[in-house]
Amino acid sequence: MRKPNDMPAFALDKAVDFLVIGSGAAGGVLARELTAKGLDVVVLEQGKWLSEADFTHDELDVIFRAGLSGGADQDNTQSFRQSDEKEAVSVKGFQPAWYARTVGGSSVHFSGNYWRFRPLDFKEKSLLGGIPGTNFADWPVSYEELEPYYTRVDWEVGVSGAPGPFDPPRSKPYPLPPMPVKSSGVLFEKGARKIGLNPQVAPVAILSKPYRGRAPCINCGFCMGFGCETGAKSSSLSAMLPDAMASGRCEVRTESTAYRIVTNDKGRVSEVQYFDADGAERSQKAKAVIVAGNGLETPRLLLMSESSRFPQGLANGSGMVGRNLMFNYHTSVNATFEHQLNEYKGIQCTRIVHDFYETDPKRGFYGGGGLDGRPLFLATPVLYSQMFPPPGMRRWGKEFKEYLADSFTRSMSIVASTTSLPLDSNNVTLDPKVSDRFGLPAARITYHDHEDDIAMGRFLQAKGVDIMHAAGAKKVVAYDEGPSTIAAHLLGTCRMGNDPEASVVDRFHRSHEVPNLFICDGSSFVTSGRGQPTMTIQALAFRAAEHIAGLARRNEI
Amino acid sequence: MTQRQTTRRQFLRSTGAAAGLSLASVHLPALLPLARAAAAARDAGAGFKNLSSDDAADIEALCAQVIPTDDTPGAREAGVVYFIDNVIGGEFAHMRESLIEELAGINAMAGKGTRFAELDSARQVALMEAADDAGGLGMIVTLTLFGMFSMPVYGGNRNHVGWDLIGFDHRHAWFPPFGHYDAKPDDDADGGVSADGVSG
Repeated sequence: MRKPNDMPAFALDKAVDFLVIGSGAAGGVLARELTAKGLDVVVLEQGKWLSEADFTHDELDVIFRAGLSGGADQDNTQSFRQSDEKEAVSVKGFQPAWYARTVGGSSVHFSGNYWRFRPLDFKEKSLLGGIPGTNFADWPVSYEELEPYYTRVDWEVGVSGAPGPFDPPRSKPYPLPPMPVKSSGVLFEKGARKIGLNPQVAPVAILSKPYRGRAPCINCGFCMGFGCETGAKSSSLSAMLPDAMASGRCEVRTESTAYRIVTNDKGRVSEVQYFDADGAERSQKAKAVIVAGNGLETPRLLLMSESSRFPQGLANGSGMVGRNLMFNYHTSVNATFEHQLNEYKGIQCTRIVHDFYETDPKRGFYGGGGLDGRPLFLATPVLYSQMFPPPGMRRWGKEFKEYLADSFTRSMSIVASTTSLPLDSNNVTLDPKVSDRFGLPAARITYHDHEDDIAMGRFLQAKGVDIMHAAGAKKVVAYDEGPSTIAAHLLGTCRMGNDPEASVVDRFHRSHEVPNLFICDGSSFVTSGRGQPTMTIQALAFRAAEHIAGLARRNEI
Repeated sequence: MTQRQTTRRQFLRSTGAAAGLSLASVHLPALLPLARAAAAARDAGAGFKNLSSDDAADIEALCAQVIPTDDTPGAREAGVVYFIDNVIGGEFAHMRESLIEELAGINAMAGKGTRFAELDSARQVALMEAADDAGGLGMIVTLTLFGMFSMPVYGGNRNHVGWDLIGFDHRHAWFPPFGHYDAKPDDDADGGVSADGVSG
């Protein structure tokens, strides 16, 4: 949706009911749900208000100049290292934590794969036992408790799909039929069946039919990494914020970057300081604050909000703020086929395999994951040309030209997404040396996948190779992929839990230490799931909003 | 800057554009209109905004080896050198210094007083292989591919020759079937997918 002309303008010095930091997958749901209950909400969003009319197919701008992440000229430096024994390297271009800085957050540029978690995801430690050297734990929420909210995501955000053989119980069917199957989906399904697997329709937050006043997908192909020009992608921008804005109770303050949550002498949050569009320092008073930045920016903000009362960072008595960062490990397989697939048309994924979802002790390592057939980076021409050609071929010359000409329309990928174990050593901290354009300490990411995560990725990659061969691929390429250095899934850094010594928020996202501070986004995750987190982020947000609105109504905040 | 004053005619001569055009007219009639259009665009152009003519000549020669012209258009016809001239003064200004450094490295390998564009094709290829193996070709390759396949508004991919080369058809809406395999999903008894997407 376009930025409304008639947005309310709440006074800075008058405490608004709720201040939500971030307008993404969680923030959009929270703003919609709280305003629907008659509460006033100010949303601080560091990005601009781009609408469907602003989105383009311009790869150089969107992908190679980070057009949806603030742009290449904006200094949003992060730093990265693989262990705390190493010096972190400042990264200004492709950022290690790749997320969108725009109204709607990363739900604007995601591919919309909406897998529900299964019951086991919430209690896997009880099922399997602990894993030494990790913070593997059960969630304080069960699938059964969350199911009604998954259903609300399906029906209110808008999800297209069809039931699969391993799906968890659902109280209502999908509201929309599956998206049209692509050639990658047909080949993936054929190959998977031949090797005895049970492929199923990929559920996606993309509209296959007109729905709730929104237009359906026109299969333009510029999906992963791009904003949707028709609003068919069920981003917070297209699906949640229109209702929030229509309530007349929501102000989305754009280009507003929160840098400190201020507490009063009672230990309660009183206001949030931020830089406005002109770089001027502002402060918004609020009765309660919900941090919904993402798994990187949420812990960074809490750590920047340290004070004499909260010397380790706000709400960080447990020391868990910033820890347990989980990316979901990924591997991929590329293949070319005899005939044209034309993967540049349509969405990313239309078929998935969930046969390896559960941990199997026989494999010798923890973990599970999913496989899907899709173009991956082969959907759009520039990105395709930048991907590595088959081993041994130079990226220039006659042979390379022939490869480019032949394979763009004849290639597909299989992507494997896996679990990531929660570890102390994978974390977000404040870089003591590097700062961003505001002079704020850069988020320093320390990350190296657990060996089980990588083992699971390799296991699934080998299955992907088998599927490609079984599907009749002419040439199959699978690179040996090392540890993650870039991620779009930012999970676990303010985990939920019942024990204040071992978690940051309670089972309803209230911080253990500050009663009017809530945290709800990917950082709330206790474990990583199998690689598609957004649906669970939104189910948690629907549930949190219902509970938090109840607290507000009963004056219990 | 004396290099800036090199005339357009000198640039055209040094890139061998005239020779390329005549070769195309003999052997590849289908390519002729495109080559003519590229040459005409060059003639109409007011020179380069950010590259010296010598650098432009070398870069065009390099681009033409990255995506050579054969029975289909290459980087030359796509106007990649104009794309590069354009973006290193704008969207990809941060790549300018590395590009010029890379070019200097390649010319240093060409030998004293010799520029890349002046070498014959076989020597150009040999030199590029050496530069590539030494990690000194990445900027040229990346920018050539950007210019070949990006939106024509940036100055490259003229007449969509890059997109035509790989079979990318830029439209804003598509309807299934998209490709061969989803058009005939039931052609293999082992892999049935019904039309509504529910697999059986």
